[in-house]
Amino acid sequence: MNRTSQAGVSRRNFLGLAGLSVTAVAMGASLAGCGSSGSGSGGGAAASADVKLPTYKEFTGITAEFAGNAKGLQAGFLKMPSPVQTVKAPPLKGTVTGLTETFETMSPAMADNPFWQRLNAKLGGTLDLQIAEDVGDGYPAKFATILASDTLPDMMWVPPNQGIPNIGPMLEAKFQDLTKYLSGDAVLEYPNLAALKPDSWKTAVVNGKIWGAPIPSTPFGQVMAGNKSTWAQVGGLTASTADEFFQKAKELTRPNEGKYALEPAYINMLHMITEWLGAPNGWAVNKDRTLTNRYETPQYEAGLEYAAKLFAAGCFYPDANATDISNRIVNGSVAAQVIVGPHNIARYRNLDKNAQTEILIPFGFDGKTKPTYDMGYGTVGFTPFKKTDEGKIRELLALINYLSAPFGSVEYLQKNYGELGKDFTLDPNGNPVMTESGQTDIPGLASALNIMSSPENVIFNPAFPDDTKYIYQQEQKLLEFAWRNPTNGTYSDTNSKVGSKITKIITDKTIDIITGRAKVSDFKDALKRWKDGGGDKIREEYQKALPSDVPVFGA
Amino acid sequence: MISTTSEERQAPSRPYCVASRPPGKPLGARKARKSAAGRQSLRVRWKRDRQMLLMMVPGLVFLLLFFYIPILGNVIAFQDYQPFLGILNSDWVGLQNFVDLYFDPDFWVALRNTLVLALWQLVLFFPVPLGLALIVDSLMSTKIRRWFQSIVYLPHFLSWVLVIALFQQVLGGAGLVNNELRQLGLGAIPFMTNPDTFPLLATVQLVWKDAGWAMIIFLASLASIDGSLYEAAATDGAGRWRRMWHITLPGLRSIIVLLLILRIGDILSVGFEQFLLQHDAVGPGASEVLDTFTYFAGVVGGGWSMGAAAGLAKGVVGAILIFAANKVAHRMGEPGIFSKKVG
Repeated sequence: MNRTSQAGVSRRNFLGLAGLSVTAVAMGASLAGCGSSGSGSGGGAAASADVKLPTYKEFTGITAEFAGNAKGLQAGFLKMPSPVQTVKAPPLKGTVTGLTETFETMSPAMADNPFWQRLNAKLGGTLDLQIAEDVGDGYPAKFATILASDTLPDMMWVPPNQGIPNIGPMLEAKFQDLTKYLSGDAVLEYPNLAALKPDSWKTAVVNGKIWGAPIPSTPFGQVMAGNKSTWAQVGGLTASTADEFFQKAKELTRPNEGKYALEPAYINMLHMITEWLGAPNGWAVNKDRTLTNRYETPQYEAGLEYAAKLFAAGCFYPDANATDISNRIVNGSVAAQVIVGPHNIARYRNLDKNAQTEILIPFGFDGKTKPTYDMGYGTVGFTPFKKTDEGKIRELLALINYLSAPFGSVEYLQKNYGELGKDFTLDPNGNPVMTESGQTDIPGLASALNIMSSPENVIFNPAFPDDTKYIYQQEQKLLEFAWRNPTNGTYSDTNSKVGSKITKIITDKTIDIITGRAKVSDFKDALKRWKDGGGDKIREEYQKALPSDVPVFGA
Repeated sequence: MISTTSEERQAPSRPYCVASRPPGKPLGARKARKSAAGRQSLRVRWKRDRQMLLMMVPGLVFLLLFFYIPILGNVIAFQDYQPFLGILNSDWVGLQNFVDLYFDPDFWVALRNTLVLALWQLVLFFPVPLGLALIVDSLMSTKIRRWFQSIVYLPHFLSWVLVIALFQQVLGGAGLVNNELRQLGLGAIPFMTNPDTFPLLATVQLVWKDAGWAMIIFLASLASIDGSLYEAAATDGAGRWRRMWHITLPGLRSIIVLLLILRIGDILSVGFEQFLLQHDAVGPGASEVLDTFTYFAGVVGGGWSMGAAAGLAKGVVGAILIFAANKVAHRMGEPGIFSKKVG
């Protein structure tokens, strides 16, 4: 495949990857709520619900072929629009340091990287980044070390759903409260930040204060994807009942030919199944405004039973550690995989440009139940600043404003592709193609910049306009069943402290049950341990912080 | 005049003892002689040993920096440690982390698994390198010997990720063996996913990976057995087996005991990556060991203090076991890892 589309989708691709690695270990409740915390007194979380979010002012410089909407539908572009200038003056005066992470191969260092140097020239100063790589304990370990060392850079990417605990007290202790500069109309001074949606901003509010600009990713959550030609053998990746799906999965499982129906990501597959059963996204808001966790619903137990049935029928690929499932989807040896967001089918095009894939739209488990579709967290966190003076704060905000420039702007092009003729050229359709040096210099750095600052995402597959259309249509279908986690943007101290630990009790037991090492009836013990270990306390804290505009589940 | 040091440099093989010191430096020497039977003064000993002492400095600094100073970090086991507050500002909680640990059923599962795996390793793994060493030692052709050694060493240099992947390719549900079984119309056997047989699988993996490497120490001490003993025994009509029983094995006894003690002290460290990688395949009920428990509680779960508490508990048990095993070795008349002061 040509380089254009690969580069064009890489941003969404790595976000998808980041999202997937998180969801694989901590889905459901912790997916949305994972991370941050209120103040020690517990009153901070409630305050978060009250802060005045930055005024939303859409970027109108370009028009998408397919329009997005406030419900989460992403704008779609069939080709690169001619770029519009969004920032007048270079944002920097001197050197700014930052900590971030890359999901691509590391780019050459600043001294040997003309793309980086040219970006610095446009920024009017020096953007000196410490870039962690996505290996080993990864970013949270690096983050914790730098935090403990007490020599903080000017800004640090904070991913609340990557297991950085106790975010509330940490922010208060070390970082700058930006509410005054961003709340309400104050944000209009930074138009690219004003173009970030209120749903995104919610995730940057902790203790009733805004700590940085959010970093939007896809608002869509997990979907099941499969190869069209594989599923064509059984009438397509669709079903009207769970029994029908079971039959199809069984038919596609042929161990003698080395073929299996499902990726062995048991937790993710179970997530798909509980959607068919109509389970809530993390928490259900009851009529009396109390919360019920997805784990406590009868749907979860029913899902366990069904997933165990699929396992017993041999439908899951037998190597739980397999890392090449995307390849197997392409070559047909595994039929279905769970990915983050429909736009992520682009990953299969990266492996094989002829790979035609489709996604499953949730259906009623028994043909009658109304299924649910779980939207994602919507951002990958925010980037707070070290405590500093007003002049520096303004400089840093101007920088983030530049780096959050929307798709279709001059700044977006500079950040993701560099300079025309040097870092990239244009193909006959007017889409950017990285030059040879661009391919070395750009991806690692662009990935690091995009994970700490980003505009709202769009659907853009320059080489495959049909994919863009398909994704746009599927997003509309998913939105019909869509639910957001009601705790999004609120924080529970207990969850940030013990959330991942008690979630592990649940996921361990869940996997034991699905793989036949434990019985469905054993789940009650795990659930009790979850409740006693902090689950009930988390519920209480979320209930206290629950915003009044969150709808009752099922209503 | 040639100083003592330079003279010693010229004759490095000269043993370090006062008697051999040339009479050029009378002061220290006389003092030393005065304190005849007692200890020599610090200054004399410094003069005598300074080269040795200086050579030890890098090693000591290394140990200090990377082993002894980090030991101080164990205080977080008694704190509610938060990385952003640091050790100085985190709250003290006393023994609360150990109490939590005691009431955490997962900790006991991890401890049980660790002990079970350790026992399997002790019984099945420990004798293998010795056997391999004896085989290699008995090979006459140097060429075959080298080949054999290289082949059994090699897996040691593969990471656990590769080893598990190889086992998966051969024994996994979609692996070579099970595919053959299916072709023959027999059912697949869940070698890699059966929690009941996991200790056996884990030990086999360990043997495959590390037995060749562990053999090196035995080979080295085999080489140090006096060859004339064998000749004498052969002259007296001792056959191959008698020679092994009466010469080889007694010759290796000290090293066997030493390695056994070290292994026992280390018995709670059965491995980490191997079990982390197979965590989901067989479930934590069979594969959670103390090290993975520490990892999940501390690094993944953010409970650094509880993780440190588990690590500390493990270290204390390990130390007790080492002392106990060493004591037993002394009773058996072996030097062990350290001896009591003689005389």
